[in-house]
Amino acid sequence: MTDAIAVSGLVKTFGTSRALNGLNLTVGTGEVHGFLGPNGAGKTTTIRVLLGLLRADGGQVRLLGGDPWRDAVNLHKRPAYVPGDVSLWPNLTGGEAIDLFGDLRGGLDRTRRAELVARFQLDPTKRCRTYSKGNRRDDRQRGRRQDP
Amino acid sequence: MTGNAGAAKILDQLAGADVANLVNTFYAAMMNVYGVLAAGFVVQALLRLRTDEAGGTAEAVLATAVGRVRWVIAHLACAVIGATALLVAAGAGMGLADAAVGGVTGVGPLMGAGLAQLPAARPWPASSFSLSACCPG
Repeated sequence: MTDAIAVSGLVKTFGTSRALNGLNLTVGTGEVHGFLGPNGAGKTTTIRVLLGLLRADGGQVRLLGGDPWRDAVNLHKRPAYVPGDVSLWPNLTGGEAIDLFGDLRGGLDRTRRAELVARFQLDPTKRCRTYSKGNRRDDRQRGRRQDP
Repeated sequence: MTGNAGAAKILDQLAGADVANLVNTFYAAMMNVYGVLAAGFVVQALLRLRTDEAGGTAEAVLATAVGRVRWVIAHLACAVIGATALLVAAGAGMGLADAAVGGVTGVGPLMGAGLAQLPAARPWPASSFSLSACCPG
């Protein structure tokens, strides 16, 4: 079985500042991995490289056995991503945002959606701009949640 | 108006050609204005790319099973379809107004005149698109 995440010698520079300087990271399938570090350590940069949102300047990056830059569309049907700072469309309702994310990922299980909305006690008819930060994060999670 | 050579000349210049009929000259000149408005709409629509990137929603969408090219094409399609709809509506509105006051120009030709503005509405949006592509910061 391939590792879920395999990174070796990852380098990413922004202009003259080097955000990642030869990072090595391996996360096995089924492992729970806490990825900690001080501000500016390059955690977000690493995650964004793993999601194919940034192109690596050097090193090897494999996510679920694929290249996150070139196979992004196929790979993104599988992992879920919930950023610390959640941005949603202020004029969509929570339910619309859930459905949008679900559809972009290739479809949602309707009963599971209803179950999660009930469990988080979310009002899906409220507009995103009126949700609290925690609410918004839950919303994203539901939109992205894959069936276990 | 026929006695005022200056005004006629200005209208001819706005219309971009020596249009024989004064009413048609006026319509052509107005269509140019709609063309400018449509170009403005397209620029605004394309700046959504930049807003989405800066605001984080682009990241949210691109982290799903959506490719970068598809994401950009969706924005371009909205801009182009929106501008087309605006120009068709401008032409249709002008045609209906023309018919309402007993004119003979007709809805069809005026809608065509509106659509003829579409190519002219391209350079500015194209440059705003290139700018947001090349200088995302």
